[in-house]
Amino acid sequence: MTIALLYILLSVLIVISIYVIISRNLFSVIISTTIFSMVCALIFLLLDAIDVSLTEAAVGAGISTILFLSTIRYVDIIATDTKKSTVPIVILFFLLLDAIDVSLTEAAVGAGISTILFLSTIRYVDIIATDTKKSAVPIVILFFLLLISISILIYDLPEPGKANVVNNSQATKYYINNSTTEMGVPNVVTSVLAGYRGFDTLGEVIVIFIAGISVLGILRNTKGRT
Amino acid sequence: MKHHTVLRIVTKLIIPLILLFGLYIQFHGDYSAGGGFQAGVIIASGFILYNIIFGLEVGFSILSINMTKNLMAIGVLLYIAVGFMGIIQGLNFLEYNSLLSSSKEGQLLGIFLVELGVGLTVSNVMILIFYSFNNMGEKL
Repeated sequence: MTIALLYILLSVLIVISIYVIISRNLFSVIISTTIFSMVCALIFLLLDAIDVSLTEAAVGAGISTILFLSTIRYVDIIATDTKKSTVPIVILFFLLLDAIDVSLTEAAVGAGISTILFLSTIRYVDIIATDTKKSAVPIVILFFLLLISISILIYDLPEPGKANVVNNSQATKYYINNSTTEMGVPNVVTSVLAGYRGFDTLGEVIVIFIAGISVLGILRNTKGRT
Repeated sequence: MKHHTVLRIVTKLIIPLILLFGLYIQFHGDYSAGGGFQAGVIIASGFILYNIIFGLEVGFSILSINMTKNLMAIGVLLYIAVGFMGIIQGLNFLEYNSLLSSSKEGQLLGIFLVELGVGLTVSNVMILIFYSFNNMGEKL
């Protein structure tokens, strides 16, 4: 039952991402990515990853939609002006990467914020979409090379959730067995994030902090310039 | 959008619930799903909803841009300060064992403070990005 539901949801993801790729209306693309995130959250819920599911629902479906929409208003891209937006490519990578239970927390935050930064940079340096017509072909070739190399690499990854692979053998067992006695925190995810791997989380926080500073820096002088 | 009565009333009803849910996710993260990242985003979405409905001027009177800048720096500094507490007490960076008398309570306090720092930074960065995009670079 769960497996069947999982396959249905995954095929919904594929349908949504195909729609996102072929659609030319940026507004409907953004709403589609929101639905994409909600379906992702459901899938994570089915896989018992409650923390990741919550993050996906809050970050992917909630805040990034708002930020995307305000970005559209800011950048004034009219739907017919853009041939293809950068969002679908990111989504396609997500679809590839989502098959493995990597933490999507970073992906959602990183992709959301960095897309906004890219868009505002485009506005800042006044590159109009039609100017880049010449360089479109190398980018497509590069994209497909990357796609092929990632697809080859995926075969080397262990099957998700399998008990006797190297990834799940030592550290995971240690965390599950000792988290309650060492940390006193029932939620293992929190104790790993803030306790055992506190230094990594510090890095994540600093990344977000730098993203905030960069947005400030990019958008600060726009009025004086124009 | 202030003149839309339904939107205004529903927003006023819903925002306390959003903020309360965000605080629950923040401080109950030790026991159930959640933590600083998710809570920060949820709290930020509450503020952003308020700003969308009532306008940026009213929003600035509650949480000004300078305040968001300060708070997001305070979050990172709180995190680093908790890390250095470990060094001062002769342990490693970000080791919470001797924050309190018992090592377990020290761990709990350390995780609590660290998550608080994460929540502060994330929520204020999100609000700041929203402000920057909608203020058109006027009062930054």
